[in-house]
Amino acid sequence: MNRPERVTALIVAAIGITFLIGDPYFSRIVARVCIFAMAAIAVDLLISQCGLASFGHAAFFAAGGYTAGIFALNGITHALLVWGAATGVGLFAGIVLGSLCLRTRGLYFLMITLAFGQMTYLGLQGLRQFGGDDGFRVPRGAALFGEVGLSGTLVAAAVALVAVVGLSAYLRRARIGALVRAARDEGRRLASLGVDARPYNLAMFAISAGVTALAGALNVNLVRYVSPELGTWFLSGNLLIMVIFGGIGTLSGPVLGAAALIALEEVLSGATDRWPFFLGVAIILRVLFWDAVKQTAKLLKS
Amino acid sequence: MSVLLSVKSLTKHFGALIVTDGVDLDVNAGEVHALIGPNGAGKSTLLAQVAGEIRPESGAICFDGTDITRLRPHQRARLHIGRTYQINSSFRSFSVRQNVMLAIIAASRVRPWTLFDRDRALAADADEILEEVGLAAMGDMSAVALPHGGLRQLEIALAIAAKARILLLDEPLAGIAAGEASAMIELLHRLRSRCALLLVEHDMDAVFALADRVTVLSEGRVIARGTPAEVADDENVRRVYLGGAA
Amino acid sequence: MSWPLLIEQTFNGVQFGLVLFLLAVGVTLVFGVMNTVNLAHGSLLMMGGYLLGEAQARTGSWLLGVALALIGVGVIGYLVEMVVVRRLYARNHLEQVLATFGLLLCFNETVVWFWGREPVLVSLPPMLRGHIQLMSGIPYPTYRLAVSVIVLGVAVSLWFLIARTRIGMLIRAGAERRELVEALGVNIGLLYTVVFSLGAVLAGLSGILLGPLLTVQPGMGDPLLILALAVVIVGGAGSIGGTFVAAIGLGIADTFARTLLPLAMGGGAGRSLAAMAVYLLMALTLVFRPTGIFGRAGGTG
Repeated sequence: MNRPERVTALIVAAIGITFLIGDPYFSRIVARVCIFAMAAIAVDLLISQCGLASFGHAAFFAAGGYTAGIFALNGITHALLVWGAATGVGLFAGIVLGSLCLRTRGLYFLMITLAFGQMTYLGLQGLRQFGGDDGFRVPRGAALFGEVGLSGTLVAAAVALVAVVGLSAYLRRARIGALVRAARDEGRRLASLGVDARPYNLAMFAISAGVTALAGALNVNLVRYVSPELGTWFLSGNLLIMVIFGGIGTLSGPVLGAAALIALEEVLSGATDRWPFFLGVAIILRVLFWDAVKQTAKLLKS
Repeated sequence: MSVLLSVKSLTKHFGALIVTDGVDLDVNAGEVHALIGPNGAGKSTLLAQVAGEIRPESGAICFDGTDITRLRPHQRARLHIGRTYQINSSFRSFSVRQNVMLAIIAASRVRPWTLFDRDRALAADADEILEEVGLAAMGDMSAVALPHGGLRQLEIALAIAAKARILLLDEPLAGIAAGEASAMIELLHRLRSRCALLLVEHDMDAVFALADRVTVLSEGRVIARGTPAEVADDENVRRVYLGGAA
Repeated sequence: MSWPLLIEQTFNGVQFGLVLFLLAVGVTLVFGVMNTVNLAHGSLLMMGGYLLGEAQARTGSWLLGVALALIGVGVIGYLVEMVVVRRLYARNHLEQVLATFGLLLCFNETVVWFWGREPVLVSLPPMLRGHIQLMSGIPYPTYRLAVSVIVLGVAVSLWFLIARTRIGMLIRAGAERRELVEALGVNIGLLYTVVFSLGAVLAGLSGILLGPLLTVQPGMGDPLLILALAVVIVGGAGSIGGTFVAAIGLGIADTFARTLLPLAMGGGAGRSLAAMAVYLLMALTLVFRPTGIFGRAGGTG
């Protein structure tokens, strides 16, 4: 599914159904899917357009979360301010880290983003004034006016997700998307035509970081808690898994992947405490056998 | 005739191996200049240095009065020095038309935030160029699906789109089937009105049909220079091509 | 910082570095020869620790426990290679990372399944308890010294294996030119299995040796794996000598950072910065010298 209108319709339908069902537990899950879908889209943008797989995006998620949390601790809860600031922090971090990380490619890029992700996680653990290892509770979520409840957060997350889907569709169709894809294909050739792709890759990286930070800030509204655990490499890995579950390169892929992973978590954890085991198996099967399954399906169709 | 490209005393080593040994070379505006020589003479390396992909140890390269010796490839491209490659490297995720569209963007104001796919004006400009090189019918085809000769035509289309004033061609006729060679020579002929050509080539028929002047390289050094007829008569050249006395 | 403390920390740093080397060698061999990244390598370390604890509990002997644990990890390594990893050699790095990440999840849960979440106890054999006097007034734990000696012995044997035996030559050749090795009539699949299993046993050994020093608990190997990745990057992927130097260097750097920085900067921030130090070095290497101090792309030496 690659049309933004269709994906938007899907999201709106899902939200509508969620409100109809009216179960807070279910609403919480859907909100969580929206939040992580945003971050997954950000990760997918880098992979499918720039050819860069990042294992450190949790750092931006955590940065957004801590920004929102710190604002809340200081009594600032106006939504536009908080989320704007979080996105800004993400953009800035993206530019700074991107300038370093984009000097590498491929596996080395994966490793350096892992390193920076770890540094962020460890750095956050050292912030005594913000609870160190344990993090801190956030008294109030960010809101446009008054108090915000679960429904408000759900709507906000859904709106943000739709906006991000639109952004993703736009970037793919814009010249910047074409240029970074061309650079991914044949960087030397593009240079010989007159374009140095580095500023464009940096812009994509920064946008990806900003979106992920926004997701982290929205997450604070949902869980009302901020801790270094937001920045572990497990979270970065989970984002990559969502992308690969849903299929790299499509608009709907990251959204479906996030839904699939979170749904799997919910279903499995109800059945057994050992559910990560089965998640691990699912990931292995997906990586190893999905292509074969698709080939077989094609053969069966024809 | 004004000198467009001027190479002076260019030298390059790879370790102890000297691949370019004090080479001087001039290309005039509107000229077709062929670079020939036996295998291993350093022709492709010389071309790569003019393109900016390899840094020479010493010497200077001037384009249209500007010293470009220290400039990186994309900066030289911005000065309208075009390049085609021996091993084809078109953009494989894009169609033939989109490849040309990318080249057009690269040569002008990039405007990264405007749309690419739906840009009709850009597509029309690209189609004009495809028409010129004979690929008009294959605009929608994926670039990787082009046959070998078509890839060559695409490379030239990209160079035209990039508004090259000089085109650096590395063996444009290599690997082209005998029947298609004359079409390619014809195409290169038509390019003369647009830009100067500096081409590395082994195919002597093509060299004689196209070149205004020829420079002969052997073991990194220039051993002869002149019109194709003059060079064909040159003793040094014969020796190097046909084998020496020993 | 007093002299005794300095000497003690240096020895600790070298010892930590040596164990890190054991872990990192597997990573660098698998990457150098098969161009494969295995995130579950730390899980093999963890299995070493758990199997030692279990074997020791059942047999009452540390020595026997070590032997059984080594065999056990070897078998596990072989099975993992046969079932999952060998299908990853032809895949791209992202797929390798994700699939082995899945393996890591499976291992962590398996361990909880069998042994629960509480740490497992591994006890020292009587002869390795207590202290030895390094110099007058500087007691040093006997066990730590023993660990260093054991790892040095393993390192020398490894060098001998790679540099002087036929299989070592095949490993080096396999890293440089796969087609060449196949043309020699060698079963490349078997070579890969051997290399992977060797790496697994070494990882298991590091877990076995670390058992009494760290807590044997789920996920114990994962932070160490990332450190091992840092070692491999800094030392140069595929170069065993580089891995050795980088491991000792990073081991000492990490140990000193952990003792000095908290003293200089106070508790939380100091410890945090200390932990970050190694990753900073890793990032700097990737930016300025991606092939590492000794590395060339694809080559053991």
